[in-house]
Amino acid sequence: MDSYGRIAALKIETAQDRAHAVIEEVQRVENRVYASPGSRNLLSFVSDAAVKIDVLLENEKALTQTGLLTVSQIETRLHRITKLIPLLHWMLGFVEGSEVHRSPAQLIPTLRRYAQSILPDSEIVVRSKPELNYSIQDIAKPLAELFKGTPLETSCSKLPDRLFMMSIPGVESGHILIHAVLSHELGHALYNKKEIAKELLPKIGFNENLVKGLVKMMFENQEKQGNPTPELRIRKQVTQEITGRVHGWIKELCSDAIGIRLFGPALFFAAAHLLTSLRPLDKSSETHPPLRLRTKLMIRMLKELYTVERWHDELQAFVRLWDEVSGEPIFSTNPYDQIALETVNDAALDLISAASDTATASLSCYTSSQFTRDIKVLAPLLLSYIPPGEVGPYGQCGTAEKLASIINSGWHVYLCDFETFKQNLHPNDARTRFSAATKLHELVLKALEISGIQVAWEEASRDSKRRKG
Amino acid sequence: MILSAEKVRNLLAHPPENPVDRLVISPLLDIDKQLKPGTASVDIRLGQRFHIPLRAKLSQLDLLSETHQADLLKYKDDTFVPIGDYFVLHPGQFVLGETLEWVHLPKDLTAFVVGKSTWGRDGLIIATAIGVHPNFSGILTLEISNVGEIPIYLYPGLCIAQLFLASVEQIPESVAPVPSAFLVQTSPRTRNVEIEDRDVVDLFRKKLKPS
Repeated sequence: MDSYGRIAALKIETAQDRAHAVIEEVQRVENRVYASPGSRNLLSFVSDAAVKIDVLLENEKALTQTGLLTVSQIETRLHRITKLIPLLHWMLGFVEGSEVHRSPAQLIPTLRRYAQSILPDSEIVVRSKPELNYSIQDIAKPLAELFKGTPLETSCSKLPDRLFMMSIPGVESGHILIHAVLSHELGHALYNKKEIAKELLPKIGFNENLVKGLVKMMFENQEKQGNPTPELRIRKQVTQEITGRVHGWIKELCSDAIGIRLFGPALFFAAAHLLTSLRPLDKSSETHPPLRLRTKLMIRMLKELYTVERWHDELQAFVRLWDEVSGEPIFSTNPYDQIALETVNDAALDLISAASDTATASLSCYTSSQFTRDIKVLAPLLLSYIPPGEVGPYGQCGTAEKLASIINSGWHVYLCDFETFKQNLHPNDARTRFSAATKLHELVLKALEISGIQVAWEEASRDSKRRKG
Repeated sequence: MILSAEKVRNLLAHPPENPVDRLVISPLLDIDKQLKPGTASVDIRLGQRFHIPLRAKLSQLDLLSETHQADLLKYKDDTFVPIGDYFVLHPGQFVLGETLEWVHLPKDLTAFVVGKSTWGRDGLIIATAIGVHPNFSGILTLEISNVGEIPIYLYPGLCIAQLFLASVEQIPESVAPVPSAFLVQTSPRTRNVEIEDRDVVDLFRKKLKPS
C-alpha cells in the first residue's frame, strides 16, 4: 500500500496538472473574439469543470493519505474524476475554428437569429474545419447525459438547452452561396426535435419478399462454400443492414426536404454544385442515400412548391437537366442498397415531403412568391453591385432582407446572369470565373452583414426604448 | 454643387426604379443623427474590418517594385472587430479601416470623405480627402492613423467620418465608364492593380542610367 500510496499521489498530481493545463488553455483562448456566444458558453463550461476537477482531486489527495481506502477503491474513485479530463479537451476542440476571422462573421449573427427562430432556446457555434464537410451536432443533451451523476453535473447549467455545433469547410468559409447547405443541417436539428422518425419510419416498410430472396441467396452461397451461417442469423443481419440504411437515408432525405422548405431552391442549387462535384451520383453509404435520389426528392419538391415552369430559362434548363439525370435508375451492386432503394420509392418520397411539411408547419418557410419577388427585386441590386441587405427606401428601420431571400437572389445571379455580373467588374476581378464568383460571394456576405446589423439595431433600439419606458 | 442633407435624404427615400441610378448608403442606422438638417454631409460609421500591415514581415513599401502587390497580400493581417468590441490604435500606427455603410453612387453624383474633427482633435487622422467617383459601388476604405501620443480606442459602429456628395455635370451617354479598381470593394484593401502611371517614371529612370 505504501508504494501504491506514492503512485496514487503521483496520479493525482499529474491529473491536477492536466486540469491546470485545461484552465490555462481556456485563459489563452477566451481573449479571442468569437462569432457566436455559444463558444463562450462552452469555454465557461470547460473552465468551470476543470476548476471543479482540480478541487475534487485535492480532496482525494487527503482521503488517500488517511489509509482508509483499499487500492481498488482509490483507483475507482480517481478514475471517476480523471476520465472527465479528456472530455474537456474534446469540448475545447469545438471552440477551435469558431473565431470571427475563421468563420464567416457576416453570416453568423443572421444564421444564429434564424436558427433561434426555428429552434427556440438554442444556441449555435459555427466553426471552420479543415475538411470538406458540413455537419451539425447538438452537444448540450449528450453532455448533460454524459456528466449525469458525475461531479460535473452542475456545470451543465452553464450550457443552453440546445447547443448546436455546426461545422463548415474552412477553405470554403467565404463562399456563402454554398453555405445554403446549412439549411439541410438545420433540417437534421428539426428532424430530431420534432421526432419525425417516430411518425414516419413505421409508414415505410420494406418488401419482405426481397429480404427473403436475399437471405436465401446468401444462405445458399454460404452452403456451397461449406460454411453456412444459420438462416435466422443471416436474416437478422440482413434486416439490420437494411433497416439501418433506410433509417439513415430517410433522415438525410427528410433533412433535405425540410431544408428546401426553409431555404427554397438555394439548397438544391448548393447541393447540386457542391455535393455532386465530390461524389459519384450513385454512391451511397449506410447513412447517406445516393445523390441521385436526393436530387430526385429535391426536384419533386421544387416542382411541388414553386412555379418552376415560370422560372428564368437558364434555371428551367438547369432543373430539367437534373430532373432527367435523377429520373434515371440508380446503379448499385450492393444488395442492401438495392433493397433500400426499392424501399425508398416514390411513395416514400411523398411521405417524406409530407413529414417535412408537418415539421415546418409553424415556421416561416421560404415561399414561391418570395422567390419570385427576390428575383425581381434583389437580383437586380446584385447586378448593379449593391448588396441586397435592404432594398430601400434607405435610412428606415424594418427594411432588412431575410437570410434565405439574400442567398436565393445570389444563386439566381450566379446561375442566370453571371456574365452580366462579370461584365462591368474591373478586369482584375473578372479575369477568371472564380475571381468574379468571389466578388459575388463577397457582395452576398455584405448583404447579410447589412441585414444582420439592421436587425440588431432595431432590437437594441426597441430594448432601449422599453427600458426608458 | 454639394448636396444638402435634405436633398440626400430625398434621394435615399425615393430610389429610382433602376438600381444603377440609385444613391445607396446602407445601412443608415440613424438617419436623423447621420443626416442632420441644415448640414451638407452624411455621417458615416466605422466598419468592422481592419487591414494591418505586418511590420515584422514587411521591410519596405515600394510602389514601383514588381513584388509590391504580392508583398502586400502576403504580409497583411485582416482583423474583424464586431460592433460592440474595440480596436486600439497606437501612436504612429496606421491601419486601413472601412465604412460600415455600402456606398453606391449614380452616374451624376460624386463624393468625398472627410474625417470628423471630433476624432481629429484626439490625434486620429482619417485620410485627407478620399474622392469617390460616379458609378462607384463599395465600402469606402479609410486610411486611419494615430498621430497623437496616446492610444485611441476605435469602436466599429461609431460615426468616424463624413461624406459630402456633389452633383456632376451631365456625362454624355456615349461615354462608357471605366471600372474602378476599387469597384465592389467589400473590405479594406490596397489597390489590386499595377500603378498606372509607372511608365513616366520608367522613362526617366532609363535616362538616368549611364549608357
